[in-house]
Amino acid sequence: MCSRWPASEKQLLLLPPGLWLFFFFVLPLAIVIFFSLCPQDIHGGVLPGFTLEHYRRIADPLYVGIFVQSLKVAAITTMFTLLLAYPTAYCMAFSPKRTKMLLMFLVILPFGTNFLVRMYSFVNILGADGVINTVLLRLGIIHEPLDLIYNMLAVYIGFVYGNLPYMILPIFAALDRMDVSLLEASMDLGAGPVRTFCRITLPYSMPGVAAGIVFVFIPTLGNFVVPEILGGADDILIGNVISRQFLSSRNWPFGSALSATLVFGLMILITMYIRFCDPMGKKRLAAM
Amino acid sequence: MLELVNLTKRYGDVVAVDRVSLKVEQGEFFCLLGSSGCGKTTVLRLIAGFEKRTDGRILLDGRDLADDPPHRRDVNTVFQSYALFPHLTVYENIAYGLRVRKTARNEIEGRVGDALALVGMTGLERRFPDQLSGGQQQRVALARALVNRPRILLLDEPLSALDMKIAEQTRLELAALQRQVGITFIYVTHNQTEALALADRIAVMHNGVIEQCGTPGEIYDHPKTRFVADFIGSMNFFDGCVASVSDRDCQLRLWDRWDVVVDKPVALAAGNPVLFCLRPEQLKLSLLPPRDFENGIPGTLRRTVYQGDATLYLLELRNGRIVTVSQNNYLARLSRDFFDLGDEYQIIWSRSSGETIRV
Ligand SMILES: Nc1ncnc2c1ncn2[C@@H]1O[C@H](COP(=O)(O)OP(=O)(O)OP(=O)(O)O)[C@@H](O)[C@H]1O
Ligand SMILES: [Mg+2]
Repeated sequence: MCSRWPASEKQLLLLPPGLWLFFFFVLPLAIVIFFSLCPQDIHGGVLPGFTLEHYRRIADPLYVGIFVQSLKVAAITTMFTLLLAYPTAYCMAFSPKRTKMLLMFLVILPFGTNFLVRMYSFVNILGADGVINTVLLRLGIIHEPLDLIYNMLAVYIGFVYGNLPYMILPIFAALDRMDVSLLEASMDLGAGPVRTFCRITLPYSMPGVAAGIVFVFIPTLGNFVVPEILGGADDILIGNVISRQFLSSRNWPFGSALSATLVFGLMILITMYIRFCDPMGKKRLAAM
Repeated sequence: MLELVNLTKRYGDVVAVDRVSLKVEQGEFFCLLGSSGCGKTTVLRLIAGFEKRTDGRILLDGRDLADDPPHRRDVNTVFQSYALFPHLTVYENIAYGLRVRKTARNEIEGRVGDALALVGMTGLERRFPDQLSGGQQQRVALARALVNRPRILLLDEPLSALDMKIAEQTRLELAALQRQVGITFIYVTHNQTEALALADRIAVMHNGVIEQCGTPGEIYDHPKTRFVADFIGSMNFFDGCVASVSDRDCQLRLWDRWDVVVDKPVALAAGNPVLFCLRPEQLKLSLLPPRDFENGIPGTLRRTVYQGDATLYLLELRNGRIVTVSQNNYLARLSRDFFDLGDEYQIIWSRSSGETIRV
């Protein structure tokens, strides 16, 4: 279909997003890299000069550990989000049309409320005098409030909750496109429901799953709000470290170095993901 | 042998299939013919197991399979949309059913190869479905079903997505292929030409009911209901009533005006209303009155429609009804038959022609 467009028109269409990317991604990234190579000004900002000291500091086991911890948290979050999102998307895609619209609406509904507000509301749900503990205490099931908040559990709950729509929607979109007769054909050829799911449904939805994984993994890796609100004092992820460099520590160059490392690390990670896991291996599916 | 007994399917208030009973013999090419929405697909889906019957039985060799899930039925389907798996190659599509059944690797290779050869697709194993033309996809769908050697193959309008020339050619191949593999085919179509050309027997469906079931010849020559007479080919209808019956022939009075003789008795007493049907090709035009083995009624030529091999003559009877007469152009030229618009002619047919349908 694309080949119908003369090359110049295609380039014209790419101009607005190209400009956008240049001004709001490439340029800031260049500034970040530039900052990361300058000496620190202890009042904030940078001094003129050139140094690799900040990058050397990242190699400190403390920061490497936080990087690794962040990757782990993002990976676990992605996994649990996927486990919750897939059945949901599956049910949505195979619901009658009206139910489908309703469920879709319900999935999108939380976006109507600010993310921060939703995260703070978890304090009221998970806190010592929050909804869950109050109910359990009243019912006499527990006698002391459970530690549900200000720990990693709360951080995971917040992450999974916040990310769920980003995983549900692409998987739903992939499954919704699927022709039911493919499933019927599989059953017709002797495959039971489980085998039909593994051999037809799952491969068919892979592009959606792959997109969902990227949509969830990357924002989670850089997120500092959720650990800040729901995590304990020690539950620090790389996002928190970066934000603290800019806000409390006034160490812009080091914060920039961490950011640049994160961005390039992610680029390498995504490239490898696409290369080796081949999530878009069903190229022809994506093209349909 | 497949037998349907009073098979019924309702969707809420809609009766999609209404007490359908029929028998399909082993190795038979059986056609379900009917216009859109008459319930053909529903019958197939009931046999395949994609829909649950509301009532009735589906017997395969005497065993009721109506409660078996689709993957337990020894029946395969060629879907109207083909439903090829887009993420699998042609080879893997065809091998799917065998792999599911845990067939040995070298047997899979052999059988997939045979199936590909059977449908003339050897060499395209590595292609993906979207790299094939419609006709090729149709062949892959056929091979994917045939490779499992099912007891019965269900085909839902497999040629309807192809353009006419390809469909005609594929139709011939399909018939030959069915004879070759000897698998029972149940073939759904709304195309009467297809059904007449392919089928050993045809069941004509209308509003969920089977109107008539028989060989193509029986269906075409001896329609039993008005719907069948109208649906298959073209037909002239005359309202009439039985004037008198003997054991050799009967007399009908058409439109209370014209008396005709039919060389075949009817199982009706005098006075009963009937519908008399004549095909356009059974009629001819003449300036002469009918001879004693013929019937004739007068009509005025109003229009001619040239069709290449034949010409249709539309004549108006004195009561305003239109009768269509078809005349082979080649034979007409040989016998120098030419007819002028506005002139009155005798519409002649043999007393042995025509079907009398009770109403
Ligand atoms: N899932 C369904 N829910 C409700 N009604 C249905 C459903 N499927 C089919 N029907 C109805 O049942 C009737 C028969 O449908 P069916 O698909 O069997 O027709 P068909 O003969 O195959 O027609 P076509 O030639 O157009 O494919 C139709 O009136 C249709 O509207
Ligand atoms: Mg149909």
